[in-house]
Amino acid sequence: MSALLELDRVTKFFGTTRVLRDFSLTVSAGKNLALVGPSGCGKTTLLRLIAGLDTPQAGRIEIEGRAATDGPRLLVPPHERGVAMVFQDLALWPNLTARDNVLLGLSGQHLSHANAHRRANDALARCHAADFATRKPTHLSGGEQQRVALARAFAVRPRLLLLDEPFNALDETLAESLLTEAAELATSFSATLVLVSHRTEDAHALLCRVVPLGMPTMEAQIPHVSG
Amino acid sequence: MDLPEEITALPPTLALAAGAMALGLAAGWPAGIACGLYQFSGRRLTLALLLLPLLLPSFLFAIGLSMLRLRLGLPDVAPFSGLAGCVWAHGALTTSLIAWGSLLAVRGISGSQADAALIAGGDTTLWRAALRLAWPSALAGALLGSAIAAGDSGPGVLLGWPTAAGEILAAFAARYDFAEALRRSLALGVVTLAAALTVAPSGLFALETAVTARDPSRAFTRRDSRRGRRAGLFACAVALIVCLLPLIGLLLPLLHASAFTRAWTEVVRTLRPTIFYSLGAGLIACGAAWPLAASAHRRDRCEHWLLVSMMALLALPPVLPALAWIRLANAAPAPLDAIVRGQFAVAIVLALRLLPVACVLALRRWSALPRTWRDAAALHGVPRTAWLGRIVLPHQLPGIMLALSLVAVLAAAEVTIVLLLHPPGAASLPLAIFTVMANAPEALLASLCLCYAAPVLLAALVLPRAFSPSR
Repeated sequence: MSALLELDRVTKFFGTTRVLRDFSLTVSAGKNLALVGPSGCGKTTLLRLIAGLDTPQAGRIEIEGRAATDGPRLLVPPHERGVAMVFQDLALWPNLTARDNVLLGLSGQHLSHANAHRRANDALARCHAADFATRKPTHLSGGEQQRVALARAFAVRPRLLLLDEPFNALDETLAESLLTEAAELATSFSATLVLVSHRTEDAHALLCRVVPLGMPTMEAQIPHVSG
Repeated sequence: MDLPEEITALPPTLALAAGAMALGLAAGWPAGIACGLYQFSGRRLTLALLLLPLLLPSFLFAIGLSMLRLRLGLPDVAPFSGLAGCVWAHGALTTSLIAWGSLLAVRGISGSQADAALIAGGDTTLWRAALRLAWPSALAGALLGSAIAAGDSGPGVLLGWPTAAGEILAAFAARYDFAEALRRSLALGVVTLAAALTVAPSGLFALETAVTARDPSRAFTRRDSRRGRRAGLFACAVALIVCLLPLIGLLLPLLHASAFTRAWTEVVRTLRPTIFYSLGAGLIACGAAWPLAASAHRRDRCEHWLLVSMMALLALPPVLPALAWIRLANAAPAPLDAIVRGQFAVAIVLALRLLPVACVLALRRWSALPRTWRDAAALHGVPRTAWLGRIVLPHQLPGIMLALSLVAVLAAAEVTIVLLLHPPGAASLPLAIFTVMANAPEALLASLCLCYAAPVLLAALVLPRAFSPSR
């Protein structure tokens, strides 16, 4: 099976603080992956590097066999990588309704007005968020906001969906059921999930391969992981 | 040996600055903390009164003190004239700056931090912790207030205290010696700048933390306790004595006679230029401040230097940019006259003077924009126009409106710049008051002051909402 995502000896510093050193990882299409580690071990940084929101000092990132980042050079911009992300704080734009959040998220896809609406409504319905599509995020419960964030991410039909501990604020039962649902949605949208979390239970809910991450560098623990 | 006039005028100026600082720290520091920590009746009115000196020109406080003294039949001595009178008139602004600085600093205490202090030693420990936390902001406000006092000419001229700024304005008006006025204002600028830049090591860190805090909203609930009521009483007394009493003096003549018809004629005559200067300054200042803050925010070094330079700019006496502009206008070619002379020039220089206010508010607003919103937009390929128009602008709009209103009100109150730069027949209302106050009947002066102060007081009652934690 071809690799969907490949990280090759990626190194990232913030000032003098080394977050990642020579970190390598391979994820195959359709094989969800959970990266589990304590706070501050570089989980979010890793996702930001994969998404192209940040660049490493050294190393190479390939998505679907295409070089996306080579050292500090960003070769493919974030919105052209086929990657979506659900952020830790969800990053829903509060002045827009749930539907407008999804629609604005589709604006980089160059779809016609009708197609964009069809795609947004479909994503909202499949994520069970259609009932509150006209409400703004501040008027939604925590669980409802998570569904809108998932709908916005799935609407762009990503090949890879990055989840940055999005369900941490929820109680364990709800978080577990949402994760299971996210995994099912990922299958139906033909996307592969990469979850980062500090809770091993989250990984168990996804029924996926778990990669433990630790301080101070990751390479020490996992020289090379294939999903 | 005869010393140059710019040197001999400095000791009285420094004495005034030191006095304003001392009064501000003694009154404003505890008053601000009381308003930040405690819930008490009259708190909202106290905050509005503490906002007044920021919105009204200092010479109104000086006129008010003068009128109060006359009404009470007191001799022309302290605390209504001379150094003490000037300290009172300028101390109102310093008190206000310190009180609001302390209040904002205390708002940084979280609910759990307050609980921890209360468990450790009750209200006394909480009070001590708040005093310590607010000290850098209070010091920054004190230095800034004293720098502004040193650069302001109004109260010194009115209450008989020979400050450097007053001497510059008097000399310039009498002899129109541009070179001398510029030399003197540069000397004064060096002193006020030096004073303001001492803020950098002492208060800037706290100011930066307050201004660029990533999450400005905290979950601290103000306490209602016996100590809180006593502290509230003190804050009320400060607001009444330092800020309101001079303004009462200003309005006392209205009890016997009024001249609202004449005052209204003057208001109508000056309304257009006043609105043009204030709104123009607000729009220009916000138009410059928002891109400046946008390019600096989340870059620690840029944010730091932007704040330092803005503090320095605010500390310069207003006469300096006005004189510099006159020199620029004299050297500019004729086709540029529409920009460098006339009402537009006044708005530009006022905007430059008040750019720091807009910049601080812009930095605070940009810092409240979550980074993940931008990340999400980048990841989804949201076009720049949609990002700016649909996400950034609605988020920034409350901050822009607040900055615009504040700069507009402050610009309307500025007299020195308008006095030096306004074209004939285009004086602002405060300048008209400043010009007629020596010869006009008390009733007319009081009516004019009320016409100006009433809408400002209304703004002072509304603006504190913008600082409320629920924002």
